[in-house]
Amino acid sequence: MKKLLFVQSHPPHGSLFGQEGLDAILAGSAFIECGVLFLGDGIYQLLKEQQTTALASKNFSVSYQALQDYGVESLFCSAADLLARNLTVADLIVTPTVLDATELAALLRDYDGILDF
Amino acid sequence: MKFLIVVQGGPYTTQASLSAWHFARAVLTSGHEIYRIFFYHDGVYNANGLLSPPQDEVDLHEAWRLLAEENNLELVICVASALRRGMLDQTEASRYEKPLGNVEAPFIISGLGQLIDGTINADRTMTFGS
Amino acid sequence: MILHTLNKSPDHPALNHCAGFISDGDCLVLIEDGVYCAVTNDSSTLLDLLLRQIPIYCLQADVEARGLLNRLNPAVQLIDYEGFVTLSTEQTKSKRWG
Repeated sequence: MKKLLFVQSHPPHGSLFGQEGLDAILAGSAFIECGVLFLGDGIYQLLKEQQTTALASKNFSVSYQALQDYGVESLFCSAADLLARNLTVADLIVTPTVLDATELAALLRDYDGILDF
Repeated sequence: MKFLIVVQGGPYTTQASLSAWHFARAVLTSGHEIYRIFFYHDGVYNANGLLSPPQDEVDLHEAWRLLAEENNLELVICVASALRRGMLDQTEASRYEKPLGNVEAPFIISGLGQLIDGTINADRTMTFGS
Repeated sequence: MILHTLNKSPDHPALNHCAGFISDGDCLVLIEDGVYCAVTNDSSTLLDLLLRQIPIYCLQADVEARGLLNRLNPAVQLIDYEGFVTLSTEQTKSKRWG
């Protein structure tokens, strides 16, 4: 096992998958080379300007800015997912590599293991 | 082969835990080995020793407990997920000044490093989610 | 090669998401509510995968529990949990959908 791909598929706040997925990514970064794919609604975890005060929910999105400090630099998302949500990378807290369908399928094959959140 | 089984769903609300349990049994009956079973997200609820389902329904806590004891398995629940959801062993209950703990061996509270270690050292990882 | 598991019915977008990622050499294992994806004529996405000759399996226990034994696309193969384990040893990694 040389590198592990974490897949974030849930939007933030409606469930704990995003936050706990991020905890797992940070843990993984201490052991092995990690990549993160933000898939489907998972891309919403990176949306700028999340204001969680009124909801009294944790704004864990800011922690994504620290990923690079943890050595996690391989971030990916889907061009189709951005388009479907009327988003561009300029709307995101960090800048994932945008992949088309063929490249996304290849990404899954390129990693030795996949953990889904 | 050695398997890491990741359980992300609690007992009963979704089928994740039941499916994972069946898969774990099949790993063993097929002659393979279980490296670890890691409970994350709502999966930590499977460690709740207070589960009291109706008698005509499978007791998932008991099912996991027996599987682990009969086969000397590690049932690890993630500490952060567990604490958030009120799954505490006696040590954590004392630490957090709670009236009781509801997690006992063979369920063990530990860190996410056990999940990552499992993905690295097992030959296969299978995840059951909600 | 990847073993894809899917546990949601075709009402959920997971099947369509998953289908875009399945490559030649992969297989799809339908478990839990995912077995509803294999109901005859219920999913053009599944039919597309079958046309591409992607092996598709259903967990028999889940099919039987849901009363679907006589309602499935005949090209979908029924497996038990040991069959599921065997498939997981034949593929190099797994991905969960749903």
